[in-house]
Amino acid sequence: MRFGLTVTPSEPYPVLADKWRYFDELGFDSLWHCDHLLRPNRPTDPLFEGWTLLSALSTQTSRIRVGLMVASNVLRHPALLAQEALTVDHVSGGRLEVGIGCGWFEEEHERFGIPLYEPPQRVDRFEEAMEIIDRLLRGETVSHEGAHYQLSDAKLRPYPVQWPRPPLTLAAHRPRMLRITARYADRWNSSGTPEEMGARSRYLDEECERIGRDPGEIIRSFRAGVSNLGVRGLPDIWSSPEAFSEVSGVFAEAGATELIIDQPRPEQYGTVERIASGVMESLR
Amino acid sequence: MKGFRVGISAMQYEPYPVLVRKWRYFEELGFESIWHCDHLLFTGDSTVPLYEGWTVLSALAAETSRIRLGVLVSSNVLRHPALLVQEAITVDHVSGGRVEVGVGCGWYEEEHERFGIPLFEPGPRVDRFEEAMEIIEPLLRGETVSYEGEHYQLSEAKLRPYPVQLPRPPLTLAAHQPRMIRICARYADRWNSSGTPAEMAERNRILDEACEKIGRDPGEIVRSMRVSVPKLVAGGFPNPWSSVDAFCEVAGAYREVGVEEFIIDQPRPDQYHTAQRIASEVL
Repeated sequence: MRFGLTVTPSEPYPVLADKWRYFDELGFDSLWHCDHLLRPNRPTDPLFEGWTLLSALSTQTSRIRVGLMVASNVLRHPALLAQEALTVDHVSGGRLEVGIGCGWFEEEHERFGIPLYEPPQRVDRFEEAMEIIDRLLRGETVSHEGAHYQLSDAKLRPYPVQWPRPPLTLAAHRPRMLRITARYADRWNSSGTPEEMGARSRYLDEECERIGRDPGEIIRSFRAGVSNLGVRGLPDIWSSPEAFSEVSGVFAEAGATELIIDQPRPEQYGTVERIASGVMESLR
Repeated sequence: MKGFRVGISAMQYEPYPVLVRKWRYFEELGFESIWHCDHLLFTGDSTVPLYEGWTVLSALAAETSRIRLGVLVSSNVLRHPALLVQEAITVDHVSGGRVEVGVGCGWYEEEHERFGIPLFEPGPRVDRFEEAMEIIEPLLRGETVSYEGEHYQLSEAKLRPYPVQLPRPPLTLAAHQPRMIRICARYADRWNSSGTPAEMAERNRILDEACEKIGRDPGEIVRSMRVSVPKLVAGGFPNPWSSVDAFCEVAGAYREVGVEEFIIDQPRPDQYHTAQRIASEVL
């Protein structure tokens, strides 16, 4: 089992840098933030841009893996996303996780006038984008005649630090996105009740088998949002080592091999330190 | 050369650890600003590595402490203006208020053909740029923007946090032709171009007139030149990094036509000794 944290990029930069260094030292496996122009649910909050902030914060850490959970495919061209990813892979010395999703936040697109597209076209775009991103990240020369993207002898340099390319994390909750995940992902990420997650994970297994891929190759990464756990009758995961163990156990049983958890509140740091050096180690 | 400003242009094609050492070195020498480009392909040779402009700028901002920094210039056709502003605000915070926001309308055809990103014909490209500037300027100030343009439509859109530099980070516009220079007169804190002394003199005059026409004090806009060393040498000037005298000769020639700042190709490592002397004696 692996354990990563999400830290919403809404706090002052020096505070974020302190937090990232602290969580790096505690021994968590990965740190993530979101990719939005507006913070969902709290649109008046500050929110830094995902990739530029990730690049800066990767210079403040030394061991922990870093990524966006997830970059939205409709906010920038796939080639720009791939170039940003290659850059952060170099800045971080090969610690980048490339997280991508198809986009979803309607209000952001309405306010800024950036097309979001109807769900089927949005997934069509995403599928084409994954084909391009996977190859550009490997340093391949890409020619692509798609309905949404057209590339002609296009390649990006430098090659990534991680070979053959940085790992890809795809956010997927529904069958069609899960089928795309089966093809491209090193890590599948979703969020839901343990029952929903179990069902999606089994669907992903079947889809892998159908295309001849070993389902065991894909990390099953579940979002454990502190606010959602209570709704599901589970304790706050940061309240005690026992709670951490209980929540991890419930998701592990549903098929999770990784938990991505909302960052703890500062008053919970004492407990978090006990969790990180104790139960987290034993669950790995 | 009292009052003459010198920034360094150091393209992001070297390994990241080398870039960090160079940026820190130029910062220590006392240069005022450092810049790189914004392209998917290095212009002239697509096999040269090139990091993404804003992402690597943000990392280098975190690794330096005093020097001002920017993209010279960010292409308006590579990303939506709102994303550009959010990146600029982010780097303003990461750098503690040292970002310079450089914007241009885009020009590199091969990049757009290969990656399938529309560049648009020059007329519509400048139309887009003009609309983009109308959006970028207020978004950078933290204003709420509603805009019904031909190319961009925003409806009560605003970005947070506010920038560190108030009311907003300075805007640098790259402009060489009259219409772009007129847009410059409206929005720029720094105008950047590159050419012979005669060309720079002519463009400077157009900018002065454009400012006067809209009632803006022409003295508010820094006249900045992007100095390509090979082009200078081809034009009969000495290499400015060859000696203090050579640097002063070139800067003097351009100063006479109203140029107040050089953003000049970085020196080669074998010229660092002279660059140190220039930094301590001229700056």
